[in-house]
Amino acid sequence: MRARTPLAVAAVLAVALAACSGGTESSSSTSGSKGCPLAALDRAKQPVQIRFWHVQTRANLDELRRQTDAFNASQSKVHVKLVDQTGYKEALQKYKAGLSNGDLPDLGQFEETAVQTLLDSKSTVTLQDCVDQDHYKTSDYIPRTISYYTVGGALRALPWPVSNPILMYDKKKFERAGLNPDRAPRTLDEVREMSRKIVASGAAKYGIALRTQDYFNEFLYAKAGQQYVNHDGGRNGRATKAELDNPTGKRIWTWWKDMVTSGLALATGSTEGNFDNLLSIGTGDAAMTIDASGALGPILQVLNSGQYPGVDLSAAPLPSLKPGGGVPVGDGSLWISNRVAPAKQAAAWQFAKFLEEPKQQAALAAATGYVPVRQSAVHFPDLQAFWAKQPAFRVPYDQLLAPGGPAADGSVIGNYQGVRDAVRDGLTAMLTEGTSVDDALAEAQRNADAAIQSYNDRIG
Amino acid sequence: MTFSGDSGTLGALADLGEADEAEARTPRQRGKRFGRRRRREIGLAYLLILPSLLIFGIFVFYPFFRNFYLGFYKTPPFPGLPTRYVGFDQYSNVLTSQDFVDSLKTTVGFALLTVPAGIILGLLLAVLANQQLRGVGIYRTIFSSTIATSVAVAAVIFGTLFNPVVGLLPWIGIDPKPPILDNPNLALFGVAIITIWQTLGITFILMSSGLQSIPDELHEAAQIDGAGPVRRFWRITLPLLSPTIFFAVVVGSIFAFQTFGQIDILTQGGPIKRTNVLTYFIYKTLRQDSNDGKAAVLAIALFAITFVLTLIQMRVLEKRVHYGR
Repeated sequence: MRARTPLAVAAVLAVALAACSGGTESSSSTSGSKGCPLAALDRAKQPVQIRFWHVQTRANLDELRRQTDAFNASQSKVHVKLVDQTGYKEALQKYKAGLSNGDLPDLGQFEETAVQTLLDSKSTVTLQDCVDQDHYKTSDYIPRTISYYTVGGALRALPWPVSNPILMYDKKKFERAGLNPDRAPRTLDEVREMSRKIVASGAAKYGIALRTQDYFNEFLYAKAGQQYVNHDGGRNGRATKAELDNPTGKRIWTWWKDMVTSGLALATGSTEGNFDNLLSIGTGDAAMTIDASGALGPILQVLNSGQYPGVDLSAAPLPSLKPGGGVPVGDGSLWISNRVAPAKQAAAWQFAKFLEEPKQQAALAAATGYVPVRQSAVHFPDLQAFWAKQPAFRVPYDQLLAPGGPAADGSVIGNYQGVRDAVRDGLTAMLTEGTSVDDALAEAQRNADAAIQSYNDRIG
Repeated sequence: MTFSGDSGTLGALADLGEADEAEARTPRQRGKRFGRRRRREIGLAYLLILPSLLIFGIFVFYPFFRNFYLGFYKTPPFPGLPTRYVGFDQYSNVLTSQDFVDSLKTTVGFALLTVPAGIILGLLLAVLANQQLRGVGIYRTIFSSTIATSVAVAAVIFGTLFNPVVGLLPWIGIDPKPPILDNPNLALFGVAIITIWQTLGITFILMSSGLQSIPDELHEAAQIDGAGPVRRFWRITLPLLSPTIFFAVVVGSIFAFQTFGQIDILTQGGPIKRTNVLTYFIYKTLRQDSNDGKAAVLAIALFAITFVLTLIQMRVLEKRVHYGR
C-alpha cells in the first residue's frame, strides 16, 4: 500500500501531537518511560497527590472511600483523590481521549477486557518492573488473578476487584420439585434434567432464566477448556482469529438453544441494565439463573426485602459442559499510567499495594461480595464470619481457586467488545429468530474475526 | 481535486444562496451613481456577517472539511500511532459494507415509522383541540405536555412500561416473547413509539398554530354552501395547513435521522443491530471501536443523506404546497 501524507494533514497531526504533549506532566516523556520509578516518591515534594479513576458505586464505593481515607490517614507521603467514572466502558473511552488531551489518571480501574487495548496504547507502567524492584511477593494471590494479567511473561496490572459468574438458585423451589436443595447442578446436562423436574412439578414456570449475556459464553468455553481466540488466547502472540465455531462451541450453543426452545429456560434478553433474570427468581418464573457474583449483594437485598417471601437463595459454581474446569477472572484491574510524573507513578504503586493487602481484600469481600484476591485474606475473622452467615459469597472464591487448563487464564483480545457483540448477536439470532446453531456460530465467528482484524489492521 | 466528491452538494448550496440574493438585489441594481455607496454598503454587510461567518467557519465548516479529510485515513485505536492514507478506499469500503446498508435501511424504516404517524396523530389532536369548547385549554396543555419531556425521561418511562416483569404492557396482556425491546422484530417499533410520543407535543403545537391561522370566514362560507365538517377538513383545512405539514415533514425527517438518545438508553443498537440507526452506528464506531476514520465516513454519509433528503423535500413538496396568504 502506498503511504502518502499530504502537507495539510502533517500540519494537523503536528498540532495534535503538540496538544498531546502539552497536556501531559512536564517531567515525563510521552513515549512512555521504561521501568518503575519507585525512588521518585522519596525525592518528590510530599504529599504527592494522585487521582484514582474508579467505577465503584453504592456499597462498593462506600468501602473504597473508607479504605482510601484509611490510607490517606495512615501515612503522609501520598494523598489519593477518588474520581468517579460512570462505568468501565466510559472510563476506557475517557482514557483513550485522555491520551490526546492529557486528562489521564495516575491510577485507573479498567475492565478485564481492556488488557490488549491498554497494552497497545503503551501508556501504562509494566507492573512487573515494580514487582521486581520492590521485591513484591505475588505468591499469596489466587494464581489465576496474576496469570490473567500476565502477558508476554510480565505482569501488567493488579487484579482489583474480582468477580465471576455463578449459578444462583432458590432452595425452596428445589425442595418443591423434589430435588435435593443442597445439590446444585454441576454440568449443563444436569441443569437440563433438573429444569425438567422443576417445570414438570410446577415449582416454577422455567427451570433457569438465562440472560443472552456474551461473557457467560466466555466462561462456559473456558470451563470446557476451549480457548476463545487463537495463539493460546492471545497470550502467545497477538490474537488474529476467534475460536468460536468448533465442536465445544456447538455443544454449548446447542444446549442453550434446546433449553430455550423446549421451554426449560427463559431467555431474558441482552439489553444493558436488564436484570429480569434475577427478578424472575423472586417472581417465581424461574428456579435458577446465572449472573455475576457481584450481583449477589443487590439480589439478596431485594429478595430479603420481604417483597418476595418464600425464596431462599443459594449459589453454586457455574455449571460446565463437563465436570470440573476453571474460570478466568472477571471485573476490574488497576493500571498505572506512565504518562504522569514518576513520583505519581510511584505513589500510585503504593496505593495499589495497599488496596491489595489481605486486610483490605478481606474487608472488601465482606462488605461487597467481591472475591478476595489474596488467599491469606480468608483467615480474617470478619470475612470468615460473613461467609459463615452467607455461604453464597464464598462460591466465586472457591470457583476461582479451582484448577483449570490454559483456557481458564482467559483471553487477551484487541477489540474484545467487538467479539462480545458478535457473540451476543449470534446468540440472540439463534434464540429469537430460529437461526440454526451452525449458522449462528458461523456468523458470530465471522463477525468476531472481522472485529479482531479491523483492530489489528489499524494497530499497524 | 481532493474535495471533488463534495462539489455537488456545495454547488447546490451556492445555487440556493444565489437565487435568494438575486431576488433581493434586482430593484436596487439601477444606475451607476449609487456605485460608491453600494460598495460601502457591501463592505458593511460583509463586516456584519463576518462574526457569524467566523463562528460557522470554526465550528461548522472547518470540522466538516476536517472530517471529510479524516475519512481518507485508516486511524489507529489511540492517538500516537501512525495513521495510514487509504484515500477513497475507505469511503467505498464503508459505504458498500453490509453493516452500513443495514443501518441505512433501519434509519429509513425508523423515519417512515415515526414521521407520518407523528404528523397524523398531531394533526388529529390539533383538530380536536381546535374546537371552541369550555376547558379545551386543559386538553391543549395535556396534548402539548410531551414537549417538556426530555428524550432520556421518555425513554426511561417507556422502558419501564415495556418491561416484561414490572411493566404495564404485560399487565394488560401485551407480552410478546421475547419482550418488545429485546425482540429483533419489535424493537424498532418500540423505539418508534417512544419517539412518536415524545415529538407529539411539538407536532401538536405546530399543527394548532397552523389551524389557528386559517381564517374563520372560509369555513363559514363553506358551511353556508353546505359543506360538512369532513368535506371542510379535506377541502379547506388540509390545503391551507399544507405549509405547516410540509415544515413538520422536513423537520421531523431530519429529527428522525438524528435520533440517538432513546436508542442509546433502551437498546444500544440491538438486538442483532435491528435498531442500529446511523447516528448510533457512528457513535459506536467512534467510541467503542475507536475507528475515527470509519466514523468520519459514516458522518459524511449521514450529512449527505439528510442534505439530499431536505433538497428533495423542498423541491418536490414545495410545488404541492399551498402558500396562499
